[in-house]
Parts: sequence; C-alpha cells; structure tokens
Amino acid sequence: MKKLMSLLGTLALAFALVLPVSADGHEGDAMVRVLHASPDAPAVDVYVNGEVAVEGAEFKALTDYLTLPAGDYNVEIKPAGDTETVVVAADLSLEAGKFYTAAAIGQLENIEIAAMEDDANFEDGKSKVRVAHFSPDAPAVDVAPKGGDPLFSNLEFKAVSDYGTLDAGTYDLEIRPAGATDVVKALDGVALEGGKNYTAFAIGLLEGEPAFEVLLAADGGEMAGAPETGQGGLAQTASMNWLLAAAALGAAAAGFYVFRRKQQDA
Amino acid sequence: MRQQLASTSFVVNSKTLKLLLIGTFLFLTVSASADAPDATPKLKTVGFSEPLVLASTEVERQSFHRETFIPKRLIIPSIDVDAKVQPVGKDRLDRMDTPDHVNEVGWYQYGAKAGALGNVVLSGHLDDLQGPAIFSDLGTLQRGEMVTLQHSEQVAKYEVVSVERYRLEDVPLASIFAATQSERLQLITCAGPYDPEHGYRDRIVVTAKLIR
Repeated sequence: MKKLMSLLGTLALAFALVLPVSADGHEGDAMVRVLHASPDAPAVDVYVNGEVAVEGAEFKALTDYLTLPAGDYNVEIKPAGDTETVVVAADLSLEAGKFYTAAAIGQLENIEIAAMEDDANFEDGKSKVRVAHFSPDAPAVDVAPKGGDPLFSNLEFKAVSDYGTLDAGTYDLEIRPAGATDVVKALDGVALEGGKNYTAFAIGLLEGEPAFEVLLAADGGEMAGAPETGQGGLAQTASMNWLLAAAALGAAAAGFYVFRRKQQDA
Repeated sequence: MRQQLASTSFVVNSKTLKLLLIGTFLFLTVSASADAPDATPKLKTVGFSEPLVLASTEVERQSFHRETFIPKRLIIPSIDVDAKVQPVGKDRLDRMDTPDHVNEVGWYQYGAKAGALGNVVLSGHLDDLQGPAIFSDLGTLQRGEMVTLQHSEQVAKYEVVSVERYRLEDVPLASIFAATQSERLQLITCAGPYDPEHGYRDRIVVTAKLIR
C-alpha cells in the first residue's frame, strides 16, 4: 500500500495543470477534479472547452481540483499526446462554490464519464463517506464494518452511493458481494478524520489486471483566503532607515556649513 | 455453528482462526466428556476438515494505515527556523489565521496532518511592527532544501519543490486548501510592498513534498 500511495503521489505531481483557470477560489468559481478509472484505457489528456487541462493522467490517477468559473463546459478525454482522437466526451454544468469529480469509467470499449458533486460541507467530529463502484467486472456489493451490517448496500457498477455520516475514527471495513457474508476485499485501518468527507472509489478488475482496489480520497476542502502574515515592521524599518539617513545627511550638511563658516571667519 | 464459523472465518486472520479452532476443540472436548462420563472416545468422529480448508483461504486485504500527526515543531535548517507550531483556523475575514506570537508558526487545522495525504498548510509572519519575524527568510528557500515537521518522536520530512511569489489576488487557493491525493506541505508568508491599509501586496508560497 505504501508503494501504491507513493506511486499515486508521483502521478499526481507529474500532472501538468495547464488550463488558464482563475487561480483564486472566488465565490463565482467551481472546483472540478478528474479520475481515470477505466482499467484498460491508456494514459489520457483531459480537455475542457477545447483547451488541455490535465496531461498524462494514468489509470488510478485522481487530479487536484481545478478552479473554473461557474458555467457549462465540454470535457473531452483523448489519449495522451493525441490531439485528434476523442475517447469520450461529456457536458458538465458547474455551479459556483461547488466541488465535482468527473470520472472516466468502464472498459475502453464502453468508456463513459460519470460526474458527481462532492460534499464540501463539513461537520466537526464526523466524517461523511460515500462509495463509488467503478469496477466493471465486480458484482453488486455491500460495504460493511468487519463482520457487521452493511453501511452501503447493493451498489452495482457505476453506482455512487449517497454520503453516510460516521463518527471520526479508524475503521476495518469489508466489501462483500451484495447480501452475502464472504469478503471480496478487506479494507484495514481506514482512518476517517472529523470534519472531512471522503469518497471510496472501487476501481480495477476482480479478474485480471489492473487489480481491484479501493482509492480513498478526501472530498472538497475547507477553503480560506491567504493569511495576513505581516504587520509592516520590515517596511517601516526601511522607511525609518530613510529618515535616519536623511537626518544624518542633514547633520553632515549642517556640520559642513558650520565648518565652512568657521573657515571663512578665520 | 458451523455455518456461523464459516462466515466469520473468512474475515479473520490466520492467528485468530487458530484460536477459533482451539476454542471449538475445547468446546467439543468439554461437551464430549459431559455427555459421556464413561469417556467413550467420541472425539475421533469429529472432523476439522472444513475449518482447516478455510484457514488456507486468504482474503484480499488492503491497508490504509499511515502515520500522521499534528505538527508541534517546524525545522528548516537552511534559513535557521526552529519554531513552535500552533493550530489555527480562520479569521473574521475567512482567511487562514496566523499565530498570535510572531515567532511561532500556524498549522491550518482544517487541512492535512503531517505525513498525511493532502495539503499540510503552515502560515508564518514575515515581520511584526518592529522588524523581522519567523518567516522573514522564507523566500530565499531553494528547491531540494529540507523542511521537517515534528511531534515528539514523530517526524515527517519534506523537500522543497517550488518557491513562488504571487499577488494576493492570484494566490492559487485551490492548490493550497482543497483536497489532493498528493502529500504536500505549503508554507505561506507575506512579501512585496506594504500598505498600512491593505497590508502586504504579495504572498510567498513554498511547496514541499513528503519524502519516504
């Protein structure tokens, strides 16, 4: 898992986010990120309204949120470096102040884009969690605490559950075939922090590669303005220095004047 | 009983399973002797084949465990920073807050913990009314230099990957405050010309990535 996480980190850093988006999270902006969850699709570039926004996203990559002014957008996914071939496209309506995830899902021959709104309203001491079933060959599943009753029931491929609210904490969860008690995948040590929301994306293939796994991602974010980190002391020190310099200059001039007068008097 | 055992056995690790098997064995032993005071060797008829088969069934596991902590101390050797870190929230103007003491550093409590996936965000003062404060030299950091977060024995090391200066209105807030799958540290301070009404015009943002 550590290997996986560092791999993801590398992938995420490798993205070039080159869309000319407004950099500031102003109130008129929406935030959108892209997930590559199509197991047999190549690395892709993501275009927004004809301009490249993400380059070289591979399977399992979830980009950072991009800031876009609210409005309607056309999203196109093309093989990395190929500006002609559109693998799949979708129209998205993005509202101001909201967060979204657009995921490319399904095997390449049936690839489609699933768009969902991410919950960015946070609750102290609680975690809101949902599950997205994006594994094309997995059956309908339940997700439950180890040995317990399902928290999410009968999710089929392409289904995204509603958010459920859990107390913050660390959970051992398991994914089971819907209604059954055997375990498809045990998820150990899932740490859910209070005041954060999460989506667990089930991706990959039960039979074959890339293998079935769960990508746990924090959703949204508690946005803030940049901090006020100065009181002007350095700037005022600079102007103080000016005053001192001016005073010194004045004193020197006065001294020179007196000196000259003395010379003249002599 | 067997049905229940079968369903539980899938989710327990092999150590627990052995205990379960021993438990079952003891139970059978006790009931056998209770039911048969003349010690008829009934136990020979008890088969363990099914649970033993289950013991060889490995459940696919995925661990999400990772060491994370709330940072208490920030060390940046190249600019002689060794500072206390205090949790901060947001101020009245919905900006990330800064610590009261200008030689301490603020950790954004709604962001990520040290060592975690996400953005660990720290703010520090460039100056106070008298002169330089804890982050007065932040802008001189170079790519590749080290930044360390600590909480007693716990340590997370980061390496500087970028040092950027932005006009206040151009600071990339989404990269700093929104969720991310990267493991980043963001250090923020003021820069540029000072205006008593609007404060400093610019912000310096140093981004570092977690080293494993």
